[in-house]
Amino acid sequence: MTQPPIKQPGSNWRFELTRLPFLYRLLRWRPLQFTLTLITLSFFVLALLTSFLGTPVGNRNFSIIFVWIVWWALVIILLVPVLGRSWCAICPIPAPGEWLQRRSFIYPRRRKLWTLGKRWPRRLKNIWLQNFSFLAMALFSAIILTRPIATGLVLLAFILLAVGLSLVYERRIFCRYVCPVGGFIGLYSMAAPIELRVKDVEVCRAHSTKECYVGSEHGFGCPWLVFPGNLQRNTYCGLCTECLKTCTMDNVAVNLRLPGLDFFVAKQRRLDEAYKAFIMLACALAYSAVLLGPWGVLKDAANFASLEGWLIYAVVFLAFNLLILPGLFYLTTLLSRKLGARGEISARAYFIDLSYSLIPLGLAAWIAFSLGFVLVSISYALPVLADPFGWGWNMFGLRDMPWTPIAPGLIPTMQVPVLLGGLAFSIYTLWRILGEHGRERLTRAALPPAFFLTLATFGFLWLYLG
Amino acid sequence: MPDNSASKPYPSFRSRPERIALLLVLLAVVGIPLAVLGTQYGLRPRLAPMRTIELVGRLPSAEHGGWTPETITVFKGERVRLRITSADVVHGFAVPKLGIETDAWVEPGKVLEVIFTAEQPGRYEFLCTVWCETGHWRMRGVIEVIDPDDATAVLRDVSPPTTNWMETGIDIDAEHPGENAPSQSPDARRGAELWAQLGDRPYPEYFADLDPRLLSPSGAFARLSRPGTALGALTSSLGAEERWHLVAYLWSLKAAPDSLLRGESLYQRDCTGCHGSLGRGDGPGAHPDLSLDTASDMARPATDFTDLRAQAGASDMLYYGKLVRGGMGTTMPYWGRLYSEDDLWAVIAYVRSFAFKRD
Repeated sequence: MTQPPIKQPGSNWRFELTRLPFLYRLLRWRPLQFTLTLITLSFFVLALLTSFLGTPVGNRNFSIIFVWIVWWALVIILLVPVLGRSWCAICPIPAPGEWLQRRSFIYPRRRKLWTLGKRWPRRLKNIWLQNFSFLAMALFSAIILTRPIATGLVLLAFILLAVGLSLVYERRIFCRYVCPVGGFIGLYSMAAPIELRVKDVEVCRAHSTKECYVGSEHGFGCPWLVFPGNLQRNTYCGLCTECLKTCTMDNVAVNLRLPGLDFFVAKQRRLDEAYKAFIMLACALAYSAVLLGPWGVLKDAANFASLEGWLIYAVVFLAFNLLILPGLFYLTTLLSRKLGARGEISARAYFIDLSYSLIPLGLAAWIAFSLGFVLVSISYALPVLADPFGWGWNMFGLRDMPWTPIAPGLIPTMQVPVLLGGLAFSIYTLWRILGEHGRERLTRAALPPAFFLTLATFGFLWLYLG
Repeated sequence: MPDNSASKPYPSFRSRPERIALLLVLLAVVGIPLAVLGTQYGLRPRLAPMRTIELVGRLPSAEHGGWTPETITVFKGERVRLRITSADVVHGFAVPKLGIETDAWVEPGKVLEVIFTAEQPGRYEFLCTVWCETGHWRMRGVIEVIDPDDATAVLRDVSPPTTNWMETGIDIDAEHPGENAPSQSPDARRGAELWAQLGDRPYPEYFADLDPRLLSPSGAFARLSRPGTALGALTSSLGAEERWHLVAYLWSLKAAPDSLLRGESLYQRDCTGCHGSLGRGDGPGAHPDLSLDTASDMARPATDFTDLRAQAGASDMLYYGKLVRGGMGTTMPYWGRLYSEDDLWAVIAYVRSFAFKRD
């Protein structure tokens, strides 16, 4: 039976970066991932140590500054929007478990992975767990982001869980289905202008040995349990480039492309991913209000000033994430469906499809939100590097460098274009997704969700500009 | 184009790159902690023979509020550097009995360094000196100075000798309105002028038979007004207002100007939070809206030192007792372990100035 060819969405323009000899050699160089992970692991070890042994004062403690400001800025402002899931390739958290499974650091070994090799339950093969683990962290974020010990406990829990899961399940189950950070990195990586794809799907289809998935002496089988031949979106590709190393057909490439093409892979849209988009947008709004807003009551409630206050905050926060924002958007999609006369598609599917238009705005909101505190607080990085524990060390003589906010006056002028750019990108995405259901009454259909997106953008602008 | 089609042997786990990788991972996972701990606890004490202790201040009502650590143990003669930081708002720091008093604030995100050497074993209390919230008075800790050659020395109390309040007959916690009270603030200077006209010998000699600490202004006024005594005869021509000027003069003789200045600086630092800078009992800590527990005695307003009847009824010893022990069932903290004997009397002398005018 002949299968229809897999069409790469928006395959209008792509530049194959791996045709650059230097980059190609670098990405195929086996020690690359290990080397970069070793660097991040060293920082991770220091973050763990400082969180438990260092000063409890957040801005003098390496763990708080390097995890929640430096790492966060690196991921959300730089890596995710530009290089998609590249952080996942060098993340230190799954590394010990993965090394243990492989019982090697760099080169593949013939023997099987050292794990019980259980299959991950079918019901959990989605990102609902990641949605809820992110929400659980978000509920305590005012504490986790400011108390080194809380940060340490979270990091420790992550790495223990990652190692534990690697002993029971095959490959990177923690990254794929559990990691709260991986969930949103995957979602937002769809917007990135970088992708790893096969060059010719037919070559994969005809190729029977599939080393990219099972591994070979040149590399490991995909740690993310993804068959590259089916790869149409960045969401679950950890950019480890193992498949680039194992492919015997030289059929894998890293491409530069137009950002956001993954949003238009209609068949792979799912409710769990749609909810991730809502959770991220709702959390960006909630965080902006709690951490940057002027409301002391809100800060106290989020900060566990009293149990009652926090419980009320938790209920409102969860309701906003899981019911209110998705509910409001659902109403707009119902209206859009009616106005656009798109009754042939189910309300649920229509809601899921249109939810993907929230992703660019969500990413822009997180970038804008992060700019607000990263530029103000990044100057703590050098003093904590000089005195990571707050013990009075003064390496490189940088300890007493004063706190110097970077361009605080310019932050709003950076946030506005980022948010408006995100809105434009979201409306474009909405327009294209709506177009999948026919060109008739397109403007009418677009109006309610576009209004929702615009309203959300104004909400952010109001929070940031006052 | 890579040559992946050709099969090549799997590299051994004992291959050189894997061994190097293992070494590097061990360096990261074991080496970094060892290097950190070795530097902090091995190298640094050798390089700089001064011990550094981190002290963090938090609002007392916050999670793990107050000072962390609450108790600091140092050796007699040991040179110690305290690095003090705040996790929330501006705090202050002083160890009065070690002579450590600074105007510098403990600001969030900054480090205040205090270097000291304690020569005398004992327990020295330290405190926050900036009114930070209603529970500010609870923000205290202890520096224990240990003598390695005398293990029990630390137990010797450095607070003033306790007073047997039963013997003095003073009930510190009772209200003490004076039987006599001036209608307006008497003036010590006016009293001095009057005594210059009337007096035949040094004024305090007329009170020499009494313990001046137990004498209240009301009691002194009664003695000045008692007919049939030498003092009563001298002041018989004076009206009540003038006799109160003489009472104020008597109290002004108790404290030298420098003691009064010391009392003022301590009062402004430690007492204004509740009693107010003008002694009216209207500091922010006494504000009912800010009180921790409005339903209990803890919400009782702070003493108003401009209340002339209350001042007239209080002996210096009563104030001393309140200062040393604190107010039972109120938020008035004890100061006996923080202030020296001179400091206690200096504060009392300054408190009197809210009722009795002086130079």
